Amino acid sequence: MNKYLKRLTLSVVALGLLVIAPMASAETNTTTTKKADTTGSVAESAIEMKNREARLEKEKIELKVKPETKEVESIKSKCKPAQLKIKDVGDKTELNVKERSKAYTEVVTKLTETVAKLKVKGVVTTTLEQEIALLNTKIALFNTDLATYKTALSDLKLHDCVADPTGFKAVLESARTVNTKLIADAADIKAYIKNTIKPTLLQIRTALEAQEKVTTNKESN
Amino acid sequence: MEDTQNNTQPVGMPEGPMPEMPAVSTAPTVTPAPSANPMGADIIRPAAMPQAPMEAPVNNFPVESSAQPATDFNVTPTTPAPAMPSDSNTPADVSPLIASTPKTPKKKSKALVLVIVIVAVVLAAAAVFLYLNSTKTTTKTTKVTVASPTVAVKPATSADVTKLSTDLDASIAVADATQDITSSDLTNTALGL
Repeated sequence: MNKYLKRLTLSVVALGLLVIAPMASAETNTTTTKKADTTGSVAESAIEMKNREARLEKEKIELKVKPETKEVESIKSKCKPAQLKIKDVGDKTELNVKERSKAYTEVVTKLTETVAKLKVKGVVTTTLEQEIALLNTKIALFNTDLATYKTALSDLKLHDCVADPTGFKAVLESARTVNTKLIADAADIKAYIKNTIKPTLLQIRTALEAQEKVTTNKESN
Repeated sequence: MEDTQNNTQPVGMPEGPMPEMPAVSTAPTVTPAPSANPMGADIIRPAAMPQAPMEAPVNNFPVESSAQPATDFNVTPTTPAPAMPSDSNTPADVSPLIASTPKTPKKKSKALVLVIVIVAVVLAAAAVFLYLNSTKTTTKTTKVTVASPTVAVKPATSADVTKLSTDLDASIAVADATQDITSSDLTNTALGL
C-alpha cells in the first residue's frame, strides 16, 4: 500500500511539474524579454543620444544669429527652470494633440464613408476623392512636423544647457520654427476643409436635392 | 493476587478443561466478569481497554488460540485455527483486538488517494483552461478581422451630406479647442529666459 501511495504521489508531482514547468518557463521567457527590452531601451537611448548630438551640431550650424556673451550668461542662469517649463509644454502637447488627431481622423473617415454612399447613389465623386487625398497629405505633413516638434522639445529638455548654452539656443530656435510651422499646418487643414471640401459637398448636396425632387415629382405624378 | 487469578475464568468459554496459559501472557488480555469478582479490588486491567464490552470478543476469538501454538500449551482447539500469514510471529502478549485496528489506516490511505486524484484532476483542468484561453484570444482577433468587411453601404441622401457638413464643422471646432500648440508656448516670456 505504501509503495502504491509513493508511486501515486510521484505521479501527481510529475503531473504538477508538467503543468507548472511550462508556466514557469513562459514567465522566465517574459522576464528575459523584459530584461532584453530594458537593455534594448538603454542601447536605444545611447543611439538616441548620438542622434541628438548630431541634430544639435546641425542646428548650431543653421543658427543664423549667435548669442552674445550677455545672452549666453542669461541662458546659463535661467535655462534650468526653463527646461521644466519646456517639459510642461511637451506634456500639454502630447495630451491635447490626441484630440486634434482624433478630429482629423474622424473628418477623413466620414468623408470616405460618404463617398462610398454617393457612389452607390450614382453621384460622381472624383473631385471629392481628390480633395480627400490632398487633405490626407496635409494631415500627414502635420503629423511629420508634430514628430519633429516633439523631438525638439525632448532635445531641449535633455540638453546640458549650462555647459552648452549656444546649443540650447540653437535647439530652442529650431523648436520655435517647427511650432510656427505646426500652427500653419493646422490652419491650412482647417482652411482646406472650410474653403475647398465644404463647397464641394454643397455642390453635391444641391445635385442630390435636385435628383430627389425629380424622383418625388415622378412618384406624385 | 490469588483472587485475581481465580477471576480470570472467561465468561463465554465452553466448559471443560482450561488450557494452561502462561500467566504473563493471559493476564492483560482477559478481563474478568464484574460479577465474578466479589472483592473487586485486586483486578489488573490494561489501561486502554474498556471493561464489559471487551469480554465476549476476547474469549470467543479463535485466533487467540492459534496465535499461541498448541504444542506449547497442550491445547486442542475446538475449531481449526486459521492459517496466519506473516503476522503469525506476532508477540503472544498482543491483544487480539489490535488485529481489527488496521482498518483505520486503510481508510486514511483511501482518502489520501482520493485527495491526490482530485489534485491531479484540478491541475489537468487548469492546464486545459489556460490552453483554451490562449486559443480563444486568437480566435476572437480573427473573428473581428473577418466580420468588418460585411457592412452594407446605403445610398447617400442630401440629408447625409448636410449632416456631414455639420460634422466637419464640429470636428474643426474640436481641433481648434485643443490648445495643443500655441505660438506663445516657447517665447522667452513663457520660458522665463
